[in-house]
Amino acid sequence: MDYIAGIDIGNSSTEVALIRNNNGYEFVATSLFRTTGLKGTVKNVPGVINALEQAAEKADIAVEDIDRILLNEAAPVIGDVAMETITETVITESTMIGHDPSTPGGVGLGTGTIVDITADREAITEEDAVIVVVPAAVDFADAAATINEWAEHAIDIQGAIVQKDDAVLINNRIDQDIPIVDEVTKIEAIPRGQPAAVEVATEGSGQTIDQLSNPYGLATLFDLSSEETQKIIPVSRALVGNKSAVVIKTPAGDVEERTIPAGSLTIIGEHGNSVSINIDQGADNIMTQIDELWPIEDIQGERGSNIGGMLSRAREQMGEVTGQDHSEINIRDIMAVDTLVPQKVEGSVASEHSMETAVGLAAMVKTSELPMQQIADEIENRLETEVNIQGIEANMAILGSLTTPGTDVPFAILDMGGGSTDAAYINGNHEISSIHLAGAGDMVTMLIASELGLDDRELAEGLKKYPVAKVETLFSIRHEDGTVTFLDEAVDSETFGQVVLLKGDGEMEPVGIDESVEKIRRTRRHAKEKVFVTNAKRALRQISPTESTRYHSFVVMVGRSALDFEIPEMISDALAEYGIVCGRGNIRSTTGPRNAVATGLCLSYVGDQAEFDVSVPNGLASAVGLTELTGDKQS
Amino acid sequence: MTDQQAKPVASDGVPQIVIRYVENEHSLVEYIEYGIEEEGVPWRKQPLEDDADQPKNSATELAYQAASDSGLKIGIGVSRDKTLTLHHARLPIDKPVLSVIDPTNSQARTTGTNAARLAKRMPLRVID
Repeated sequence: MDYIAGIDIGNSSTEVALIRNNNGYEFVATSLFRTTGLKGTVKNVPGVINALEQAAEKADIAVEDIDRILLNEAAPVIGDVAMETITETVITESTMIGHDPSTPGGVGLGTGTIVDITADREAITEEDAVIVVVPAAVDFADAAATINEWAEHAIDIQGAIVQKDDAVLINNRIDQDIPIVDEVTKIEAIPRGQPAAVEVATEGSGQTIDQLSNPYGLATLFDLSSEETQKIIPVSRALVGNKSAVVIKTPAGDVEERTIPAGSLTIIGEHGNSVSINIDQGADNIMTQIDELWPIEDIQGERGSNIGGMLSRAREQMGEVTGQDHSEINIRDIMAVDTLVPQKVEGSVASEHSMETAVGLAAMVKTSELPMQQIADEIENRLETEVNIQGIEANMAILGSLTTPGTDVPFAILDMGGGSTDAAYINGNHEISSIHLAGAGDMVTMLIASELGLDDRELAEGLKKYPVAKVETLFSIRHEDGTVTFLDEAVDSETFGQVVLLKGDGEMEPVGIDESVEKIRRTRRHAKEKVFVTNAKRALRQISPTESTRYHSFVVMVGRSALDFEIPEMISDALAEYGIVCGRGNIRSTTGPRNAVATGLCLSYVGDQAEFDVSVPNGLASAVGLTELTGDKQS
Repeated sequence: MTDQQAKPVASDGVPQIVIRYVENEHSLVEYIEYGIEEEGVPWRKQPLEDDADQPKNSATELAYQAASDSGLKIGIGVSRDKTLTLHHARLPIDKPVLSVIDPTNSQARTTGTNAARLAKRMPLRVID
């Protein structure tokens, strides 16, 4: 018996399809292993051997029993991602913005001059109205007693700023209703003697503050000129959605939102035109330029900027793989997405954050070819098995995808991976065109990480892959869609009340960030839409003969990201508007969107050799570089 | 549940957290109360006369009794040996939410905070 293995080395996983010749070929095993090393280098070989061992074990044979190994001519592309923050909020002196403790006290809005609770009462009687500051050293009961005593002496106390988590305790012990904001950690940084405003929204009704989050509200309270009102906009914007806030006006202090020089891109079209564009002009402008100059010859980034660093890193990596000088390697596509990134405010007093604008970028490097022969030789050495380089990745993917029930030429495939979004189209004459675009799963992970302010890449990857839920009681969780699941066992106290990742097998992992289920879901879906829906449309437009997305009728989605629990339906939804039938592939009716290329390799090899009972359309053999396929003989 | 109702409510009409404690530990109870009050959840106290002959008064048992008695199913027990336990009536009696032996005032307050956060379905604070 002959055993033949088709192997697809991808950016992140290596897939194997194993066939057996037993008076006619049949598929006997499929396997998958993490790709070792950078795709297209001999470091891939250990991963290949692992994947082969898995497949052999499933087929109940030894790796040595495999008679022939088929490799694909892998698409020579590498993707990389980077983020450029283009604004920065700077506070000189201490103007406090955006503090939102979980239990503020009292309700309403108060304005007055800041005085310390330990100050001498006699000395402050001349002030019109005051806001008291309560440092941690002062007990809440003493603070409340002082406030009551001052009030008796006709001091108009308008609000309080408290260092410890004591706002409700103080509020319950004083005779008047004033807004109290607590958990202000760096209370010593608050300038005494300056005018300030404290606002706490009505509790329970889900309301948020409305005066301090409105620039004209601030202008009214602090008597600002129109010029000053413009400057206060970052403050008011940072307070939108808060249940409580404090704003302090300082004479020399200032809140400034400034634009960081973010570097520029030079896009060079294949027709020789080139355009330079500053990243701070935003993603839309960058993408418009890319579209106008398409096809792209090369893209250069300004030295010293994040984008410049990312582009030269990608060039160097590709240079290492192919042994070319990195000046010979071109960036063939770039994808830009506008995003907001929470950043710690410079000069804050309670670890406030502001949302800064940023542009996320993915780049795709392409070279003429990868040194696949080196990998083939290395595998041949290790296993003493004949290794063939069987065909081009896109063609093999088309051939493999055609085993999805309900497909026929002409049709297109969308191969959505981690580093790039690839597409291929086969027309009625079995001519295949293909394209590789920057931006895929890794970019989604980056966007989720930066928008939620996560340093932990693994957590961001988890938030991309799995839905979240909130542990509502010791015995139940509420899912994203509002449904509730009851648990067999009580959750432990560390998990209670947390947002958790649901990792399929019933395992719950606390996310450990202070964001709601709704916010996480919205961020995740936005990131996926911005990257995958945009790229699906872009790719389909560029591989159609008429440069129109609408040209296509049938699209099959394959690759790692086609396994995602929501990306395929997002793309199907978006493409349904164009009247396109789009769905997740099901290779050989069994493997889902996985294994298309490995399957295609086996099919193309067998098509070369002998009878094979897999339904592949007539006349396809020539299209994928073969003499004929089974189907051709019958026609 | 209204968060405005921060002061202890005498009537048993609203669901409350119950603190069951042996009487000579009332100073710890005061800090537990501060924790609950700051979070704005109603509670009531059940002092027990300290009876050295009663071996049943382990903090866990007291907490479980308190939880069973509570409209919120949440109880805190303070035993004679200065152990603080937070319990929920739906949990097995030997598996309380948390327990602290010989707590500081601040740990007692955080236990109160956590009892309230359990009622408000909010993540618990770490007791350090």
